[in-house]
This record gives sequence, structure tokens and C-alpha cells, in this order.
Amino acid sequence: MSWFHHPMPVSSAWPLFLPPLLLAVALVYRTLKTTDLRRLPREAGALFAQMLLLLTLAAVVLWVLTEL
Amino acid sequence: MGIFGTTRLVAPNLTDVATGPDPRLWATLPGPWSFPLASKPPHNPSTPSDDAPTSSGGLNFTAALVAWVCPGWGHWVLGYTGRAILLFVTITSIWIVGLAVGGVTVIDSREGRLFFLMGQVGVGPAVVVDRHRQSLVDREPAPDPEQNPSYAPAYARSATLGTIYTTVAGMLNLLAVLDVAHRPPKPASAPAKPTGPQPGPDPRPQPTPSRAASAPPDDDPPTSNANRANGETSQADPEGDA
Repeated sequence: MSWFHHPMPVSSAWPLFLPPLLLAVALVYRTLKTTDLRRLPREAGALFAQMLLLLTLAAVVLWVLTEL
Repeated sequence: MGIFGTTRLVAPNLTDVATGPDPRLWATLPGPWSFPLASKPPHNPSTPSDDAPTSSGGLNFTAALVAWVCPGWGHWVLGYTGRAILLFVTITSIWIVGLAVGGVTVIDSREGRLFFLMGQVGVGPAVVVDRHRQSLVDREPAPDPEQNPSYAPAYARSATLGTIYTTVAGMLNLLAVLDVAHRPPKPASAPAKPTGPQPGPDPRPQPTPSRAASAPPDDDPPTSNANRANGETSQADPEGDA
């Protein structure tokens, strides 16, 4: 229970927590929407790749707009 | 008995749970309750499909409730075992990771009411965690790090990640709850065909194939109004779900 009563120090590793979240979103969404669960890995993978690509692109654009 | 069928909620029968309340009750109600259901054709008890499990026009309240209590449970109740396992593992994983990263203080219905109501409450156990956090805070309002406190409030990235993870888990479970509320139960698999000699073709004249060919096979479960409008979700799931 100590784990859940005291936060973990994740100061420098926080970007590593974002891809699993995207993967979970893609998995749950495609699990609810797919017509055949055998196609789930391909569909969820495609959705995960799309989200990762677009969010990375958005991050780059925002970084360019704010830092350069 | 009330509109929602109290008996069904207390002692769920899977067929009754799937069918939900009688659509005629909804169609007679004034106001927004009747807008998606009033256009349903009148219910004819004499039709053979009266006993067939269907959720068209009805909502699976009990399945939605158990899906809120435990992610994936609603799909399990309706027979979608594969989807249930996937939903349980995925949603529970990110919810527990969020709690582990940020601690129980990331679920806060007092200070963080926006995140709590916007998403975290979508996972039923978040209410229990919130009560536990409140008891901790009431017992020790200002924990002193020097004196080995029983808990520590989340801070910086830990608070952000914990809040985001638990909020997204709640939103995803809310999607699952809405899905299971409109999903008919998975039909039982068709019985095996006999292996003996098959009878010959029926010499009687056959009906024209215009409507017979376009009608869905009997194995196909009925599709709810919401999912029919979606056009993407298949309710049949004849092969892909365990």
C-alpha cells in the first residue's frame, strides 16, 4: 500500500509514460469498435501509430513556435 | 414495479438484462426519454421474435452498472469474453499505474473536482479510493515528511501523470459502459449440423429471393439503434470473440 500512498519520482522519465497511455487508448477504442477481434492487433497498431505520429508532429510544431 | 424494472436490477437474468425495460414504457414517456425510441414500431407480443434477446430500444442497465464497477464485467455478462478480458486488462492496468505513480491523492473529489467528475469517476472503484483519501487527509491534514507520514500528496510530474492516467482510464471505461449499455448479448453458437443423409430439395415452390436474400441470417443478433447509426460496430462478432 505504500506504493499507492506515496507518489513515485518520475521527473526525468515522464515521456516514457505517454506511449503506453496511447496504446491503451487505441486498444480500448478498437476493442469496442472492431468487428472481428482477430483484426484487433492490426487496427489498434494502426491507430496507435497515427496518434503517436500526429501528437509528435503537434509537439514539434508547438516547440518550433515557442522556442524558435 | 418502476420504469427500470427493479426486480431485474436486483436479480439479473441474462436474457432480461439484455432486453432491458419494455420499450413501450419509454415510448409513452414525455420529454427526452422518448426521442430515440418513440419511432420504434409497436411491440407485438405475438411475433415469434418476442422471446429473442434484443437490446434495440432498450438499455442494459445492469450490464452497464457492473461494467462501471469493474471494467469489462459488462461485456463478460453479455458473453463477449475476449473483449471483456481486453477491456479489464487495459483499463485496470492504466488505472493502477496512475494510482501507483501519483498515489491515492490524485483522485480528489474536493480539490480536483473537475478531473474527478470529468473522467476519474468513470471507474467505479475511484469512489472508494476517494473516500480512502478523504479519510487519510481528515486524519492527517498536513503530513510531515520528517515523521514518516502515512501518505504524501502527489507533486509535479507524478501528480500530472497520475491524474492523466486515472482520468483517461475513467473516460475509456465510460466508453465501455456506453457500449455495453447498447450491446445485445452474444447469441449462443449454432448447433452442429447433423452428419447423416440430408433430405432432398423441397419440391414446393420457393418464395422470391427479393426479401429473403436481403434479410439477415437468424444467427445475426439484432443491432441496437445507436450502433446501427454508427455503422462501424458489428454486434455479430461471430468468430472473433471468445
